[in-house]
Amino acid sequence: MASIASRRLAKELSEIKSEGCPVGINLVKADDFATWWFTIEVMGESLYEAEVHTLQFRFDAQYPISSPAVQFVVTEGRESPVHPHVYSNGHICASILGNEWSPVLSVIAVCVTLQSMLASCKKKERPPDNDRYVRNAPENPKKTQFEYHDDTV
Amino acid sequence: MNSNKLAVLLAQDIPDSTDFPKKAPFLRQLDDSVCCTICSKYYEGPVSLLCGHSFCSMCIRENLSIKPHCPACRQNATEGNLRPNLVLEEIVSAWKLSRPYVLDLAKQEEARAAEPAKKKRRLSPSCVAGPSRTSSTSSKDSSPSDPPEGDVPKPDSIVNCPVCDRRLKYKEINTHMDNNCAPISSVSAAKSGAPTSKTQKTQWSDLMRGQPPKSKGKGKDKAAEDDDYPLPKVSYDTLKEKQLRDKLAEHGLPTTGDRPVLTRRHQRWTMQWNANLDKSAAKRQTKAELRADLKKWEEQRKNKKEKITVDDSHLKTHREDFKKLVAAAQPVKAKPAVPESSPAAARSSSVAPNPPPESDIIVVDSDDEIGDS
Repeated sequence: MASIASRRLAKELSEIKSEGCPVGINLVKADDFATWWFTIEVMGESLYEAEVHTLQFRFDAQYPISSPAVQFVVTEGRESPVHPHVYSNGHICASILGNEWSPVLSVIAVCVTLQSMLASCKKKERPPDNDRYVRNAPENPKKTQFEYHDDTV
Repeated sequence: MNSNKLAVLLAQDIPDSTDFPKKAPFLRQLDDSVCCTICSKYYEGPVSLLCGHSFCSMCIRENLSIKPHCPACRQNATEGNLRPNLVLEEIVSAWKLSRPYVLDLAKQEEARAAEPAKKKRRLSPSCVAGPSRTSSTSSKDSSPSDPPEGDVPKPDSIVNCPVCDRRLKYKEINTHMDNNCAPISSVSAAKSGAPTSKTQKTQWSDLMRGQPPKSKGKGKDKAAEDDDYPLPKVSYDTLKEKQLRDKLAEHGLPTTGDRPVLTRRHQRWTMQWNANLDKSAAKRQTKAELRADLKKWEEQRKNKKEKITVDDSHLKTHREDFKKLVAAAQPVKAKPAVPESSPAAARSSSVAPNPPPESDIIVVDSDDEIGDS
């Protein structure tokens, strides 16, 4: 039922508003239950110091059974971080956004995971197949079948 | 319109653990722990998996139909592993009732803590008043008529049995307790010897009373008994469409629509039905309510689909590109034709592969893809 999705999102949102987000994560906009934006920055020493990136979440009626579509925003002067798992169009190759998504995860949990994904990065570079992927990428990253092969970062 | 909906939803008082003051993290924890981690509502028909994690029956069934493991720990799980968690259900209903009261108390406490100490006095007597009447812990409360503590009651005075709370004379209390709290009359009867067999007989019939009526009412209760059995999984591919319709008709469900629609309807019904059985009998929905739920679900699905099909702006904006692509893909065919007719041929062929009428089917496919992956 669609109401489950909106109810759960309402609860997540009210929790964000009353509790606040974890350090380095900020809610930009959540005007409806379709698209939310967060800014995320890596705190402390890392390759991404002083960089602020914007994450976009898109939810469908099956949330949280189906995963949200998460990507970095690359319009309006916002950029996707240079990272071996992040494509230049903002798409992210992370298993928890694909086949390892679990309905007990939440928007904030995803933000924190991606934050730590950036924080643990050792070398700033694009994925090896970036150009090829970006040329043919579907608009929605959920339609991509990612292959997850690297657990180190 | 969407943001309107959001405002309405946020204005609604959705119970949330953050309702409780920050100073009472344990109350927040308690409130969270009786919520399903999938839908974040209070558990509805909670079931446990082998790993010990619990979810609403409907939530976990929906999730297991996509991925066969526990959402919390990823241990393998199937629908067959689900066991109703009756205690949890009981806790949830008790908590739902006590929540407003506890919340009120917590807020009072918070307000009291915020104000100077003077107010502290005002609340405490009323709090103590309840329990102090039954127990004699408060020395101030004990009136002269009460026996002083430690005093032995008279043999004929009425006391409560500390085990079963039955009221009886003080002199009988030991016999009563020695006989596992049996009523004092039957104890004395047992003592006298003769009627022993009779009391035993009644006891046995008491014990067995549960069984006979069930077997007697077999014919009459058949329908009602059927309602208590979960529906088996169906391998839809082996069914003919007619059989599928019959299966739906059996439960009084609509039999309209094509095969995928029928299949999805029956799957959903089976899921709802089985989830409903995981609730305790008193909390179960009626068949009519389940049917209404199913209808709502189908309508929502339909709406969603329509919304997406409306969005063919992509088709429109890229129509020219598509035409070019189609034309580029077809030069070999177009070549043998007379030059004048080739634009017409290109147009007609461009209409066929990128056509709005087919967009419906395309959407359904992609929809399923998301669901399966």
